[in-house]
Amino acid sequence: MGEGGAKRRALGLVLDIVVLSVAVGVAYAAVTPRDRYFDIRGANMVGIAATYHSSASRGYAVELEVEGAWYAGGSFKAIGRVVYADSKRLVLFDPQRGVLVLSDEFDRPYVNGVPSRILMRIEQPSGVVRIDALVPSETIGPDSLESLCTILERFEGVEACLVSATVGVWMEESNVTIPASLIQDVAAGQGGIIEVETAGNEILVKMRFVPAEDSSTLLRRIVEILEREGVAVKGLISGPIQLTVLTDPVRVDADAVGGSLREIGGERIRVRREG
Amino acid sequence: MEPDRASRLLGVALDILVVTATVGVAYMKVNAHSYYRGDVRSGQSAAYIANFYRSRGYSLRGGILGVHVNGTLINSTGFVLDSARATIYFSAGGDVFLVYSSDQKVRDPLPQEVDPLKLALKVDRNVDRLLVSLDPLWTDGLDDLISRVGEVAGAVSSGGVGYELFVSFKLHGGGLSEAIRGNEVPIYWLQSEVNEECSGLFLFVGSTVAPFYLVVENMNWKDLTKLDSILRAWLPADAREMLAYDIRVKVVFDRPPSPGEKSAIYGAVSSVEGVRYAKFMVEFKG
Repeated sequence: MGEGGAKRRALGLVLDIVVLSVAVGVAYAAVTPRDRYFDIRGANMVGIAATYHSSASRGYAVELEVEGAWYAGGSFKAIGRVVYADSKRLVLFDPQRGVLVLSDEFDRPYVNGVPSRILMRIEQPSGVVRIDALVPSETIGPDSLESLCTILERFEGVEACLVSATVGVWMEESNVTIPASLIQDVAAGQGGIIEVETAGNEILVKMRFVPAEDSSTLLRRIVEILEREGVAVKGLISGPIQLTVLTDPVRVDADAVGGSLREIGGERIRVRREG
Repeated sequence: MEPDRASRLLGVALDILVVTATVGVAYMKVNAHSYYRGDVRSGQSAAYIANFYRSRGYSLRGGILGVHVNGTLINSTGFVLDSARATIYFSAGGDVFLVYSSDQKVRDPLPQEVDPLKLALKVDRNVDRLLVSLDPLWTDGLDDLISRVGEVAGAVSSGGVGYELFVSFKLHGGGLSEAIRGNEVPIYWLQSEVNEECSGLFLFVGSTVAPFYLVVENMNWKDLTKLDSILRAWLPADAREMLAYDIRVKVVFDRPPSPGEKSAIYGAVSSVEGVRYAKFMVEFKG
C-alpha cells in the first residue's frame, strides 16, 4: 500500500469521526430538555392553540409574551401564562393586567384584543402552576361564587382564582323590557369569556375563566337591572363550578391549597405543572 | 438489427406504460369516491366530508384533537356517529361530542362542544351497524323507555359481539307542555344542564302556536339514567308522564358480526316487544 492509500484511509477515518460526532450531537440535542421559543407572527389562533396544547400535554411550562392591539384601540404588550386556548380564543393571565381574552374575532364582546405577535417560551416546569377543582352546585349559591376564592387568599403564591360555570337567571315573567344587548354589554365589562343567552323567562350566563369577584359582580348587576326595571327574578340556578387556581411556581404549597379546596367541597382536584 | 431491436423494446416499454396508466386511471376512477383518508382542521370541512361519504353508505372513523368548551383537551380516537349540515357527532370514549369550529362560516343551531385543532378521518368499509326502530310508548319519567332500550341491549348482547348503543327519541306530554307554558320549568337551563352532563344532544322545541316537545339525539344509552334524574329534578310530578316517540336505537359493533351472529342478533332484537323494525347497514341513514 502506497502513501496515497494511507492518506485516503486517514481522511476516511476523520470523516467517519466527524459524521459520528454530528449524529451523536443531534441525538443529544434532541433528547436533552431545553428552553425553546416559538415566534408566531400575526393572529394565528390555531397555531397558537396547537403549539400550546402540544407543549402543555408533554408537561412543559409555557410563558407567553404577546404584542397586540386592544379591541378599544391602542397597542399593548403582555407577559403571562395561558389559561385556555382553542382554535379561536386565547385566555392569558398576566399578573399585572389580570385575565385577557385575545382573539382575531372582533364581533365578540368579551374579546380584549387581537395579538399581532406572540413569543412562546417553552421550558421545564419549576413547580406547580395550576390547580383545577370541580365544586358541586349544591355547595354554594350562584350569588356568592366569590366566596369560593376568599378561602385561598391566605396562601402566599396564589395569583388568581378563576371561575367557570353556567348560571341561569330565572324570571317570573318573560323578559320583554330589557334588551339582550344591554345584558351583553354589562357582561363585556368583566374579565374572561362570558357568553349571554336570553330566551323566554331565562337569561343564561356562560362564564369561562372569569375572575371570581367579576362573576359575582356581574350576577349582582344583572339582578339589579332586572329588578329596577320591574322584572321579578324567580331564582338563580347554577351548575357545577370549575375553579382554576393559578399559582406562583416557586412559592405554592399545592397540598395545602388542594386541602382547602376539598374543605369547600372541591372534587376532582388536579394539580398541573404546565403553563 | 440493433436499431430495430431497440425500437421494438421501446415499443414494448410504451405498451406497458400505456396499459399501466389505463389500469391506474380506471382503478382511481372506481375508487375515487369510495375511499378517504386525511386530516382536517375545520369542523365544517369534516362535516362536508362526513356528509359526502355517509350519504354514499360509508362510515368514518379516526381521531380528534380539540378543546372542549369546559377547557379540557380532547385527544381520542373514535368514529363519526352522525352528521348535520356543518357539525359532526363524534363518538369517543363513551361520550358523543358535537364538533364544530368556532370560526366556521356555516353553523347549525346546535351547542358547540369541541373546537377541533385536528381531525383525522378515514373511511371505514369494514363495518356493520344495526338500526332498531321502536313503537311510541308511554313512559313515567324515562323509566319505561330505559327498560325497553335495556331489553334491546340485552338482545344485542346475545350475539356475543361487543357494541356501543345510542338512542334518539322525542318526548311529549300535556303536563310537560303546561309546565313549560306555566313557567314551572326553566327549560333553557334544563337544556343547557343536560347538554353539559350527558352525551349527544338535548333540545327543547316549541312555539306559542305549536305543542312543546323535547328531542334527544345520539345519546349513549348509559346516560339515560342521568337524563332521567335531571328531568325528575326539574319536572313537576304531573308532567312526568310523557309519550316517547320517533325512537331509534343505533348499535355500533366493535367488529362486523358473522352471518350466524347477525342472524342471532336479528332474531333476538325482533322478538323484543315494540320493535317496529331492525336492519343491518354500513351507515345510519334511516
